[in-house]
Amino acid sequence: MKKKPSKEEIIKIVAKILKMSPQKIEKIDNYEKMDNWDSLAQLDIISALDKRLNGKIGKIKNITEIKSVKKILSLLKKKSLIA
Amino acid sequence: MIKQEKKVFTPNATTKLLVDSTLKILKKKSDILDLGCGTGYVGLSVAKKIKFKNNYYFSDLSKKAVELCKKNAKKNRIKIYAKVGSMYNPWEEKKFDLIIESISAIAKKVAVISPWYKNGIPCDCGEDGTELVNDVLKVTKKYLKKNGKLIFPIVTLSNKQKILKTANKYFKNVKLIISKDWPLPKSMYSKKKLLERLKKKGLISYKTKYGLILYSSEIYIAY
Repeated sequence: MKKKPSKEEIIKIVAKILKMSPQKIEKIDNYEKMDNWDSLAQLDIISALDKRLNGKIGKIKNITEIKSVKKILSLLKKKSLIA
Repeated sequence: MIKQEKKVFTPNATTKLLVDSTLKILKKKSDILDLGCGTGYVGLSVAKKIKFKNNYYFSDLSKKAVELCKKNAKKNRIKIYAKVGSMYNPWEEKKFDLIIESISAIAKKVAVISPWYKNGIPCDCGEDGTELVNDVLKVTKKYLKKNGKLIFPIVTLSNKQKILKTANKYFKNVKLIISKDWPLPKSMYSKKKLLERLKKKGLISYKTKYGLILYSSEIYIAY
C-alpha cells in the first residue's frame, strides 16, 4: 500500500490538472473564479485525488463543495489522509 | 480557429472525442464525410491535424451551419465540399472511405433542459434520442466504399442499448474506440427527478459518483 501523500504532492496533483504552478494554485481561494475551471476539471481533481488516496475521497460527504486547495488540504488533514 | 455562432451547435467535449478517435483510426488518404457537421469542427480539426491529403465532405440539415462550415474552411485554408440536406440526401451518388456521424442523439426531454440545444438548435431525435442515429445506421453501408468505416458517438443521455443493437444489426463489426465520463452541467441538477424517471424507463443512463451525476460519451467504429 502506498504511503500517505504529502501536502506538496496534493498541491502538485491539483496544479497539474488546472495547468498552473503549485505556487499560484495555493493562493486561489475559489477555483470557480478561474477561467479554466469547469465541472470537468472538478471531476478530474476529485478522481485523481481519489486514485492517489485509494478510493477514500469518494466516501467523504460534500467533497464536490470544496473549491480550493487550502480547503482540500484541511479536509484531508482532518481525515488523517495526508502525512 | 473554428468560429461558432449562436444558432449552430457548439462543439462540445463529445465532438472533441470524435476528432481524437478519427485521428486514431485514419491510416491512409481517404474521402471523409462529416455528417451533421455543424461548424465543421470535427472534419476541419482532422484536416488540420492529419498529414494525408484527404478529400473532405460536409453536410448538415441547417443552412446556417453549412454556411458557417464553409467560412471556417476558408479561414483555415482547407478545401471542402459542403452541402445542405437531411442525412445522406446530399450524397446520393457518393461513397466514402470514412463517415464521421455527429448528428444529435440525446433524449428529447434531456435536450430541452440541457444547455446544448438553445437558440433554435434542433434535437428532434425522439423520446430516447435514438431516432436520427438509428436512421443513419440503417442506411450508412450504402454510402461506404468497400472497407469503408463509420465513426459514431453514443452519449448515454440516450438509449445506448437500442443504438448498439441497430449498429450490430447493420454492421459486422462495432467496436468501442474511446469512452469518457463527464459531469452533467450543474444547471440540469434541478431536474434530477425527471432524469431519474427517464433512467428508470431505460431511456437514458448515467451514474452518480462523488455526489456528481456523470454521463458518458462513447465513440464507436462500425464496418
